[in-house]
Amino acid sequence: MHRFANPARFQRLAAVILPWAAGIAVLATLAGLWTGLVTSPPDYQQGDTVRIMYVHVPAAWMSLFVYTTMAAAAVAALVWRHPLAEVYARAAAPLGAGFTAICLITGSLWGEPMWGTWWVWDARLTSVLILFFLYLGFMALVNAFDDPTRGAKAGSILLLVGVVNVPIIKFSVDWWNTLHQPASVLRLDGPTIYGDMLVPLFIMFAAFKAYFIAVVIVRMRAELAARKVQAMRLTQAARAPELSAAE
Amino acid sequence: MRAVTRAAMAVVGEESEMTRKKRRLYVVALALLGLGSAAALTLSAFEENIVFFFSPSDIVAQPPGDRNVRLGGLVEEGSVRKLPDGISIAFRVTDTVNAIPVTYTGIVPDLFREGQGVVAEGKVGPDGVFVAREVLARHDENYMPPEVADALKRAGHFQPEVPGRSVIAPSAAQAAPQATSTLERP
Amino acid sequence: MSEFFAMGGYAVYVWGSYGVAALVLVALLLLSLRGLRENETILAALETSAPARGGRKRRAGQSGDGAEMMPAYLAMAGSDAGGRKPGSSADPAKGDAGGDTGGDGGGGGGE
Repeated sequence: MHRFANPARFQRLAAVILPWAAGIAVLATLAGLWTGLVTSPPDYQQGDTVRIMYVHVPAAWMSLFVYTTMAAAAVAALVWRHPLAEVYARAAAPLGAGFTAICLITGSLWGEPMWGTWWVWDARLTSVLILFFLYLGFMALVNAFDDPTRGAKAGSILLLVGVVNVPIIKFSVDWWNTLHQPASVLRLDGPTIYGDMLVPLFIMFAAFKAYFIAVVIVRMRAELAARKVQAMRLTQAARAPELSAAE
Repeated sequence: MRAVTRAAMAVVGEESEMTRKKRRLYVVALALLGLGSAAALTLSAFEENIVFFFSPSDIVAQPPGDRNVRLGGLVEEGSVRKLPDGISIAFRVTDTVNAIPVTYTGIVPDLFREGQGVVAEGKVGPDGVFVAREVLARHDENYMPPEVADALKRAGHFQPEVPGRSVIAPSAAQAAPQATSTLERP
Repeated sequence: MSEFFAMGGYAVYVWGSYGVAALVLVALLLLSLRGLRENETILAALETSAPARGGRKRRAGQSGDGAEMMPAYLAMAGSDAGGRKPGSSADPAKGDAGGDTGGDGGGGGGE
């Protein structure tokens, strides 16, 4: 279980992954923009607004994916006291919040011309808004404690409580009548999106995923460095208060 | 410091560290299970409050009276017409079992078309006509280029999807045959 | 070309969506990079000013090389122990110092 708990092992692995993730993110973004905005056809009903889907849907998937991985990290942190799990959750939270914000705003920009409204309180939209607040709540909570270990524990518990929202978001369009349409891609009888439109959708998803991996590595490194700084200051303060005061 | 604790644990016996982890795992699993069931119970209890709209069959089965409700379904083919005042329209919302006449004064969204999904908010008048204050379009989960849609229509494979489902009268819509009307060209 | 930018009359919505996505993702990237740079600068300064610990002199933050492996791991273990110290410590002065530096570190790493 603790194979990846070693920060040095993480640093080595991250050093290998980071350039690849960054490279794929840049290339896939370019390919996604080209196929999404130029070569893919307009929709028979929605015209060119269907192109909003190529940022809206990957952002929505990422918002759920990031939260789910953070909740898994919360289990690892609570049960196995995995030291990197807390680092990961803290590093990933702002990115998850960012993806959720993109999902909400682009959805609004899509809803206004097509549905005729920026926002409705249907089950799908409301549950995604709750997801956004869960991200913000987690970020506020882990920083609200003077003792970082207590903050991390409270944050992990919040992540686990909020995980019930994940299946609610996914299945809200099946369980209740919503203004939002049902799932188009992840459904039992296969996607209901024409192939030419699935191409930019999946490329953009790859781009978002690679972006997330690259940036979360950067953020985890920053977090590890911050913890090291904190540890060094504590030991300095504990060992020679008069020395650090003289400096 | 942690290593020292670890070493002490090892002396006491590996068993206790393992059981502590196992116990924490059980606590987390149990808490999630409880939380999940509580959420499921709450959500199913409030189903009628969570649904965004009711189907025409729901409105027929349980007339809302003077309450404001949302009615959702397909805009029936050939039912949209302009009223004499020039700014109001009338159409019928159907779930292929029941259809309810609707009147609306105002601008409809771009996606408002015959054979497409629609959600109207308003009240049922004493004459049985649903007077909408707001009309929203609802699109289905199918995305395709215009040429493909045309080809499907020519081949007769085109069937609009009835949005949502009946909440109060679930048996009615589920037993209903699919809509057979073909779509108009956008 | 102008037809491309017009997006069938939905230019504001389509380009607005891509613009918002780009804005959020680029902003998060830049903030993350800045956070990493700041923390590594502080760390490097601390490590050059206080190399005394355990006689390990050269461990200024190049990640990934083998020589850094053990120190990084030990530092991590230290941070765990250090993090618990303020809560359990009976000495109020020590607890205060820990709380202050902890706040600084968290601020740098948070956003």
